[in-house]
Amino acid sequence: MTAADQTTGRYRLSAENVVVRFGGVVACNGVSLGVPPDSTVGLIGPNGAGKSTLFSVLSGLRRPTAGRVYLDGDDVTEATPQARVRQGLGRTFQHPEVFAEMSVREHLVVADRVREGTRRIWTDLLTGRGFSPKNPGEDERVGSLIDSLGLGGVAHASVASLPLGMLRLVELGRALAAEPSVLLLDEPSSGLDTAETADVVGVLRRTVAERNVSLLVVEHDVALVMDLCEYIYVLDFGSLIAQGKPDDVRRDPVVRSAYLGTETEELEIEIQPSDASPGKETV
Amino acid sequence: MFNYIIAGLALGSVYAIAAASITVTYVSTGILNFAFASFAYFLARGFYYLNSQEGWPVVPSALMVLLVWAPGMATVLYFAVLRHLPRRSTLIRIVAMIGLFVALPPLAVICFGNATISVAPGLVPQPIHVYHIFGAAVGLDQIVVFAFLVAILLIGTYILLFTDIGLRVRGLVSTRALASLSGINPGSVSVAVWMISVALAGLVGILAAPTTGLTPEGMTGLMSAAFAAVIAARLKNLPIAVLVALIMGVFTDLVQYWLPPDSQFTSAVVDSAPFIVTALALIFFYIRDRAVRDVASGGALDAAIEPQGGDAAVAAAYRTHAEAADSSMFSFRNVGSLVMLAVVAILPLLFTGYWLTLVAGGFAYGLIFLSFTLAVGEGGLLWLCLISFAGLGAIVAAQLSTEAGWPVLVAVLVAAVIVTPIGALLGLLTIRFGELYVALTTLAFGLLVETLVFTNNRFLNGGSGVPMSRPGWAVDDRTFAYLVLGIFFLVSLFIVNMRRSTTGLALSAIRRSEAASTSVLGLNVIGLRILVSALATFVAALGGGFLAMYSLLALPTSYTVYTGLAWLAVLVTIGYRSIVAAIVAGLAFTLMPGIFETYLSGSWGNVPTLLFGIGAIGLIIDPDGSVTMQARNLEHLMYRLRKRRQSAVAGVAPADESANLESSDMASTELGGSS
Repeated sequence: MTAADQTTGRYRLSAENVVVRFGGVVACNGVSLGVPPDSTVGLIGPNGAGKSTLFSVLSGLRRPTAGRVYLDGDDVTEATPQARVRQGLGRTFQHPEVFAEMSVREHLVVADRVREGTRRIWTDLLTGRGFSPKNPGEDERVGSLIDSLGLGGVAHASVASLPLGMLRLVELGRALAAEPSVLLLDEPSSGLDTAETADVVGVLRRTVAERNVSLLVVEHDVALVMDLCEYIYVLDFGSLIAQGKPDDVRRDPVVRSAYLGTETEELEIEIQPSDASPGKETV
Repeated sequence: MFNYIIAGLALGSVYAIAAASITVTYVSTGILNFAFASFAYFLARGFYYLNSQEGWPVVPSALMVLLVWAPGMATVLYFAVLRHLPRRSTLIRIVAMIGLFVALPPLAVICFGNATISVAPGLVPQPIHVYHIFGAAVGLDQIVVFAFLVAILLIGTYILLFTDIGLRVRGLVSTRALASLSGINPGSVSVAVWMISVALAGLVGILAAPTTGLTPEGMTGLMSAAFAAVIAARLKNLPIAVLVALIMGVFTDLVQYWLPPDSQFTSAVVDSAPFIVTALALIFFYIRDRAVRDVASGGALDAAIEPQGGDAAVAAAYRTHAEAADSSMFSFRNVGSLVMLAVVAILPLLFTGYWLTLVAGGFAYGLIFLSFTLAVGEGGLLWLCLISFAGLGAIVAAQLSTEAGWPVLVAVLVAAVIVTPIGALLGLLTIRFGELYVALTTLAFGLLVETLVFTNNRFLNGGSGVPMSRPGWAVDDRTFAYLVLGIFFLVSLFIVNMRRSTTGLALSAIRRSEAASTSVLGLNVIGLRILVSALATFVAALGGGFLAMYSLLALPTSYTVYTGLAWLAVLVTIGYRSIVAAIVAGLAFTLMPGIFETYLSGSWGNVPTLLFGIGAIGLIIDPDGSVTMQARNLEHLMYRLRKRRQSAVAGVAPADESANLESSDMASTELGGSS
């Protein structure tokens, strides 16, 4: 990845030689990756490969020991998470981080309002906006998003009463309400059954197609990643060991031995496209 | 100097026993014993009762209290209260323990009488025999304290490391869930830990009473020193807790050796020791880790079966669809609140004389309680020093109005503005702290203000306080009551607007997930936390000024941390997130004692405080407060009746009659079945 790649708009989000050390442990060892516009990119690797650490670096929750992070060509390495959000970065979490006291709709409303203008957080206090009638534009945007996620039936329910699959959709909806240009998805199918996974995948496909959003997906479900993503990066022990289109990665002997193991026959079953084998064959 | 070191070691040994007890209890059960001081007071009072009032000899009295009463009390409290706490949120754990803290002293008065105690007996017969060791005078009482500390540490270490019981305790500490699956009964181990913990509290109370005085306030000061050592030990490192406690004891006495013993500065340094230790420890942790988060107890399995989102989620799961969907101005909830406020508003017209005075006072307390609603309810900040800001507001207002001659309302407003930056600064300093550390830091801060500022004679005025007047047009209780109620309504409108606006949603988001608030919503967590800290401080100080106007006096001793914890207990009993609950709590705080004093005999005078404490403990069952929960149940009932009527009109069976119950049941399942 060259400096020109960062500035010519080839990537919406990119990392360049990111290094993260925890004491003597190297969690990320010079990792570089890029997420082009309107694309879905996968990041896979076994437990402890450094995926979550890299996600934290990309979203700004952790500063890298070395390396740079670019968002739409701007160097955001030193930027706070909230600054990156304002610049168009969104994310979800492996364990859904929802606001337990809020309803589904409120999750999307708060994201929508913050996107509309963070100043409202302060000005609402003095302008009495809490007593104003509902904003029709806000209602329409949020309502439309709720419908597109299939959450209309539970829009006013507290998220505390929802199953995991719906919580993931709520997280996704909250992230989309902020209208990101790049969305980081941390294990979006973790803990979901086949039907719920299919729901999430459907929403993700529609998101890329309709909302002009690029996705970077960390996922253990290899079949899902192979099916959903156009380009895949493979991490192992903090280092990038392979990258390419799903078929290339599937055939890569380094990936086979280091990530998927050496039993080739088993591998053939594991990485079937999810259309053929939509189960949760997690390695 | 050696004499001072010996005396300091004796004091430090008392701190060390307390710190060791609190640390071991926290590590074993996940509960920080905020009621330690009250356990100590209750049992020391029991010892005094047996020994001094009933004439029992020292040893049988001590054995009865420490080996029979303390374990019995621990067992009863364990099955009634403590066993529920490990699965509750940090907020509920702390508030429930504060409930115990508040309830036990009045229970002691009810059980043992309210005799005035000038000198508390210790375990050593009077006059105390003095030995001379290496030229230093060492009293028998000091030797007894050292002996107890050494014995407790040796026996405790042996039990923990070399016995089967110790193995079980260590297993429970690592992971409660796995220990259960391995055949260890967490309940029996926990009850044993609480028996020992309460007995040690009793021992500390008996040992300390001759020097600190047999009062709840004296024991609270002792507990604050022990808490400082526990914080320095990061809540879990027993040797460091003991070491820091001993150093604090020696430091306290050496200060009196190095500095003039009778000077105000010496007294200030001694009183500040716990806060200094707390501050230094927290600064060290912050520099090292960039944050001071609560130490998670248990292992991964324990975390996995915890309710996600804690008690707030459990409470939220009870929100009916009807309630959530109907957020209009004329919802059942809003209309109900307005009716309640209307009833409150006509109270000054219904009462006269003594009762009218109590109603006016209740309104002033209600105004102060709105600061708790803001800090705890909106900001999720468990501040235990809001009473200190109320006190500061009162004394500054009194200085401005009485000493400087300002108009009293202007003085109260300016005083609140002056105090506000202190709260904002405290909010900034504790921004990266976990809930537990916020509670402990603000407790230490409150005690610091109490000992450093409130004892200043400029404010104390020889114990009589600084007089404060009311505005000339609101001298009578009825007009004054309406003045306070008007201010209460204004502040309430501000809070309601905040809640319904983007600010409220943002605060709610931060309360539940800081990570999602920053990296998904892009919220400025620091700014919002400082905002809510400043607002809560302003309202507390404003309320303090009005309370001083109500009592025509700004008396700093009316604003002790101990009293503040009782205020918190009253409010959470009614509901800490409801504006109506704030004024109802204020009225309960003045009217209930009035009713008991007027219509029942004097011995019932302590019952209201006991009830408030029990009410706070009741938060285990109703995380939003009992009144709020009852209002919610009523709302649910109305919703069901409305659905049934609609179904009857449409001629179909009520299909979704139990939808909300199912929703709650579902929540229980999702949340680990803890509700």
